[in-house]
Amino acid sequence: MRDGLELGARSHKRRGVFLGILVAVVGTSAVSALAGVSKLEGKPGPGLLYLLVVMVAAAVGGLWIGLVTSIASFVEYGYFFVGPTHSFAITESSAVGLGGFLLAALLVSYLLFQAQRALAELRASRHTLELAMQSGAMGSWEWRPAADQLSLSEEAERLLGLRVGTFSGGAAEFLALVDPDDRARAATALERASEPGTVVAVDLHLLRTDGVAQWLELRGRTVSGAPDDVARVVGVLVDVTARIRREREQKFLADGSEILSSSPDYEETLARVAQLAIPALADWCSVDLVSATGEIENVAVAHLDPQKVELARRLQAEYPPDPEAATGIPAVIRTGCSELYPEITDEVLAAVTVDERQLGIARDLGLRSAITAPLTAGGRTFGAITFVSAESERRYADGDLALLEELARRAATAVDNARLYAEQGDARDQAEEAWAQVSRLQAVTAALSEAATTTEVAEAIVREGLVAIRAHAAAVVRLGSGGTEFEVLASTGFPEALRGRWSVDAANVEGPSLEAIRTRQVVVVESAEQLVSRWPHLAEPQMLTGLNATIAAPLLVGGDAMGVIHMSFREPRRFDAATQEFLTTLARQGAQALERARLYEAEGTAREHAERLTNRLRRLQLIVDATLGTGSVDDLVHGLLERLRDAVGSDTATILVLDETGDVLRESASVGFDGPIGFSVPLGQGFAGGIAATQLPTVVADISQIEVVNPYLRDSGVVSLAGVPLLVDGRTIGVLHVGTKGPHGFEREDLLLLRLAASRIAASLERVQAHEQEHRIAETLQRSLLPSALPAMHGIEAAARYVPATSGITVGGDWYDAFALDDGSIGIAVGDVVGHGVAAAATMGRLRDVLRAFATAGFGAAETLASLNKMACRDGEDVFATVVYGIVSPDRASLRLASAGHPPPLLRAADGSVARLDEGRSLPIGASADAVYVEAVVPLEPASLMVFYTDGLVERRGESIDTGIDRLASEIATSASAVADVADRIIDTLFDANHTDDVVLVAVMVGQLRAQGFSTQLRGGPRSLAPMRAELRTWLRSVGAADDEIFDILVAVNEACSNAIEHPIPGLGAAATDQRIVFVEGKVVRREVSIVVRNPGRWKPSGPSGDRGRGLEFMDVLMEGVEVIRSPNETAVHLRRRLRLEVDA
Amino acid sequence: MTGYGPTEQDAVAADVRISSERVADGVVVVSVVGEIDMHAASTLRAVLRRADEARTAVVVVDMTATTFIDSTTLAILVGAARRSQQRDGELRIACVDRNITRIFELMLLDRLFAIYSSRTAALDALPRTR
Repeated sequence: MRDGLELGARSHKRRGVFLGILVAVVGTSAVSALAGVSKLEGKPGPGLLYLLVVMVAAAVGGLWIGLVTSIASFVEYGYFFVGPTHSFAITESSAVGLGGFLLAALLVSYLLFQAQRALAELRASRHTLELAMQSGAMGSWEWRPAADQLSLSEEAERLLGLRVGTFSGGAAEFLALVDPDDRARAATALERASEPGTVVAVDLHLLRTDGVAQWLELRGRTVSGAPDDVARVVGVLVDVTARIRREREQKFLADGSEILSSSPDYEETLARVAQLAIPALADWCSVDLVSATGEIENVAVAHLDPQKVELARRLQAEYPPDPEAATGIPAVIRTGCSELYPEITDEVLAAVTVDERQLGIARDLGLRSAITAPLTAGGRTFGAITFVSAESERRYADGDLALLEELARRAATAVDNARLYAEQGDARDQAEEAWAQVSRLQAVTAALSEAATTTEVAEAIVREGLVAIRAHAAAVVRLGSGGTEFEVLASTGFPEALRGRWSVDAANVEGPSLEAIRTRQVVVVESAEQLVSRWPHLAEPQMLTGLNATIAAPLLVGGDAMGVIHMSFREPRRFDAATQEFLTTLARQGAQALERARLYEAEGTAREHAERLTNRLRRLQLIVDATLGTGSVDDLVHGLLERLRDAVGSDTATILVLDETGDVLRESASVGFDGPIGFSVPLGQGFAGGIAATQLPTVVADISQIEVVNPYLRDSGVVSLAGVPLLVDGRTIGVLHVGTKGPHGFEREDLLLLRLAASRIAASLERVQAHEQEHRIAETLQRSLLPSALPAMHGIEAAARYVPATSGITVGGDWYDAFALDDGSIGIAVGDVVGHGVAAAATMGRLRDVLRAFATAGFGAAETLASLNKMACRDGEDVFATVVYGIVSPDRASLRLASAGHPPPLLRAADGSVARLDEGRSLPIGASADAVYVEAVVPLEPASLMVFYTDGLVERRGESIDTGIDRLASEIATSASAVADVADRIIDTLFDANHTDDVVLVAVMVGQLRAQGFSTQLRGGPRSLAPMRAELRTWLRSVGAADDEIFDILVAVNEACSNAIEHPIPGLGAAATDQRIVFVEGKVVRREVSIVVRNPGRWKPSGPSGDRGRGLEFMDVLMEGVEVIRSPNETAVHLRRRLRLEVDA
Repeated sequence: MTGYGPTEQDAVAADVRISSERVADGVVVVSVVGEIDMHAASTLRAVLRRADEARTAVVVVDMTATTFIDSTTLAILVGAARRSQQRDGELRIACVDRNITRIFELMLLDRLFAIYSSRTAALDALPRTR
């Protein structure tokens, strides 16, 4: 029908439109006005009715006007038009009228719809308000300021914690209910609300008589124009407790986090956090941690009442938590799951308490509700935080638990961090302690080495021992005269009466000291009671001295006890391993020093004796002139022999020394024979053998009358002989004899002279031996401080060599160290302490330990040296050393190098070129406290060879060190590829046989291990099989597999890989074959090839399906060992086959 | 018998070639060059299946230039041998690589199909008597 509609007749149209709009405007205004009124007054009934009437009227009016105008226009113009399509024709004016009608109807409908919606909203909001009122979340109030009369709705009274209908009064009575802190704000709000046009809203905390924490929002405004014209303020009270609580919880968490991060002392911060929680969130808050021994320890408990805290502590001590308890804190710690007790019933209390008493106390505390959350970090639960409510009657719910868990999460992270921090601190403390221990020993070593005489040594032992272990009395006692007598060499803190000499057999000397000598063990007495119970006769001396705990360590020389160090304390005490060890070391060093002093004194005694003789016998001057201590021992002995020959007028003079077996005398020095000689005489045989055996001076007038073992004697034409034994402490160490080529009568004076010379020679030889001994001690110490073998390190092959100085007490001070660090990198250190002997060796040991401590604590290369320097530069230290320290990165692709004044390491690249690593150099350790240490990064490639060394290898007299380094470089350039061979060859070639300095050499080869194994990955599905086989074939060839063996292994590995590629993996989907990664790793150990094929996912490599499935059978046939290991994450096929031995062509 | 030219080639990888050639009526030679693994196997499977569908009387698998096989290859050969037996056809194998023939022996497959030392020997052999 619309097809035929046409419009025309402008004037009628205008009229129709005008009327339509008029109706619409009137209708709209009416509806708007009504809607507004109904909204304001909240009385929908009459408004709606009225609205409907108006709308109907408007609709009818619009229709009517439309019809009238249509008819009018029809009559006026009186024509109609019938179109070819037989549609209806309508006059223009009637069309306009109809349009107006339609427009009006449309408007009316629209307005009707809007009005209904407004009404629905109104109803909904009223409903909400009613619900809020009913549920107690909101209440209304009205206040007449003029009369100060405040009336509350029932809901408002309930919200304020009052009984319904009990409130009366004005603003003051209302304000009394508000927390005093909030009262001023509440008063201001009420005042402002009474000013017309002001709307106020303020949050108030209530003081409810029932103790429930509650916050209300007070809203209000003035209502004016009331009938009685009295201004009144109306408003609502809204319960905003939930919102405020949420805000407070957030603030609590923020404050808690701040406390936790404020200090690494987590026990203190946890206690503060516990305090923070009360009373807002809990009446009780406790924090429990698992101690190092696995026990649950309460580290914080908080309550407003200190007496209750004390009670809780006592309870905790009296009833320690059972770690296996099924519920409560132990369970939370064990399982890592939180617990929530919304209501602590009596049954719950009964279940967690042990006996009636504990239950009674728990009941008295009135515990209501509790939540516990675990402290978990790094997947480990190490404690729990607990909130308990009591007085506040608070009931915990899931929301509270979430808050506590969040707090626990933050606390756990903080504790974890603090513990890590503390662990680092412990490592530093240990390094410091090691440093202190070595310092003390060094002080002892230094003091002992300065002491020359027995008394000085003994006094040094007493002094250093007293200081080091803080004893009150100390004594050094020597066993003398063949072990039958005690001699107190030095004593402090003991009564004077105890000094002097004591017979070993006397009953009153029995005690710790004698026991230490007899057992050659440290004897420990921890208290006076212990002492008296073991040695009752010591009760009286103990009373007199008041000394209590005692420790006695034997002074051992060559396994024999020569005396004892005795230390006593006024209090009972225990001796830890470190103290005992210190005392043992002190005793060992002390014994050596005493022995040395004894020899020194013996030599001095002999000298005195000789000097006395000199006065009587001028002839002896010749010999006495040969002063000891100048030149080498050989020169001295040789000079003595010549002087002796001249003095006694002999032709020959010979010294024979008893060898270490004690059975054979060997010629040590001779004068007067032609050409080189060197002979030995068995003990007891011949002339010299007889003197040695009998220790008797012997004169032979004619050697043809006796048995002579030494052919040289007779061959040289010697006729007469005189000989004396070389004695040390009554022990034969050799024989001295002189001979004449003509008959000679040796006189008493000649023998005296011989004996004098013999005593000088014996003392000198003994001194040489003592020197050698110290050299050996230093060397042994040095070697004991160096790693006996370098640890096996992945991706690195290293060899180290230490060659001590060949002569004198010059060893000590050079060191090397190599160790794997936690991150997979490898540390290599080589150093050289300035100085020689035992002291340098001790310093070396200390530096090495400290460097390693810093290195393993994760310090970088330069950082490690800087820390080492800081320690070395502290007051009282006298350390000067050069050190080079390098860290090979975990991927073995780079070296971080720092050098403290050390000769540059050398690097041989894979192409054979050798470079000096001169970068990263700084001052030597101990040079300056302000020294700055730098490091350099050196790229490494597989097969790179690094050589670290000490200057003894490259320094030669009269030659620049650079020449030596160049010589080393050219040696390295042409060296073999195996590090052990490199090291051996360098030492063989460059080592100076008469070197006077130690040499340390460490050769490190990069990437040797990788070349020995096989490792590849398949990432492209089936098409990656062929490249894998090619790679594997090359490797198998390189390890010497025969062609048929290669074929079999290739087939087997190919099967394993094919299986891994094609078997569906749950969760990955069959389509993902191309994305799967298969790892193939192989190694050869003693001709046995083992290859592991592994891939993520769990699959079952059996059961034929399609064209595959015989893979396992294949592998079984071709390999000697096939093992499939399936774990949830990975399936690994282990294949083994032993290769035939290579047959030489 | 669709689209089956005198020579067909399926290049699988640069160094693997599988081709088939009809040398006489009812006689097809499938030549396998290089390493046959899971990746190359599908081509071999397809070529042998086509020969089977053409009801070829004698299929000679020329493995004289084969350097590697896996269990998939074997399974395909076994399948092809079974199918030709079912229709009175015959699968012959020409192979000289000792490593591969050893596999056939280890897996007892030398009983399932005849193995000849050359392609000519395989073609010249008389039909197997049944």
